[in-house]
Amino acid sequence: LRQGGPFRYLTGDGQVMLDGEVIEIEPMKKIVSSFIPSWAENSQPTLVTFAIEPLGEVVKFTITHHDYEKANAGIDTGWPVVVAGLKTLLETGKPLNLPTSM
Amino acid sequence: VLTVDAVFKALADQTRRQLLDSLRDTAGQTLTELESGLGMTRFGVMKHLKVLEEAKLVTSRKEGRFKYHYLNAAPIQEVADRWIAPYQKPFTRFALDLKHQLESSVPMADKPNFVLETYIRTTPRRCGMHSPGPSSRRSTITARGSTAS
Repeated sequence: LRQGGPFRYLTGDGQVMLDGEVIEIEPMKKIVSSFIPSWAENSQPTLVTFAIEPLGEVVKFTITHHDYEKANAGIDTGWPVVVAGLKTLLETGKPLNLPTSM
Repeated sequence: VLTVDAVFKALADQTRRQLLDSLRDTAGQTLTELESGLGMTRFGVMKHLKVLEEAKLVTSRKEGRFKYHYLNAAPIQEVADRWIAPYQKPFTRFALDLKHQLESSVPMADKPNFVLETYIRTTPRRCGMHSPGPSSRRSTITARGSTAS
């Protein structure tokens, strides 16, 4: 990961699910990336920031999304699922297998 | 240096630029042909041709009673190389960079309109923000890849 480099989310079989570019990176603090979902129609590139902040035993993890509705990608329901999965994975070492309807 | 001044002076006149255009279109014109082509007096054409010849922008060849005129674009190219290209390049570069920047960067609102915070019992290092290489990030992201609905 480096500024100007790709920030891609791949599906299990290697397809680009979500494309993006690293706009800004602060190691151990935050990553700002463009957000170009392949599954969304009439979607405009938007900007997403992932930030982490150690707080004692835990880490505060923040996702901020600018103009998320322009992505037209189900951001408001999608990110909570992603974050839940990440939290479970990091805390238990196992993926969170959600019902596929989500 | 003198040539550069002469070229700029020669080019700084509409009639002389018309003469150059005319010679560019049709090489080897006589004074009479240039005169009729531009609708100018013989004296006017001669006066302007003299300036152009001094700047080496026009050369001529005499054959019998006639003098044939030719465009010599080399001084213009020299002036362009020295005085146009160096200024044009940074500007072009700037314009292209700006275009690239505007087209590729993401317009950013003043404030994000989606914020989600959570607290995870882990360490910053395990969150994968230390450039872990693509494979480990990929596994982190795709482990819960059910969002691609």
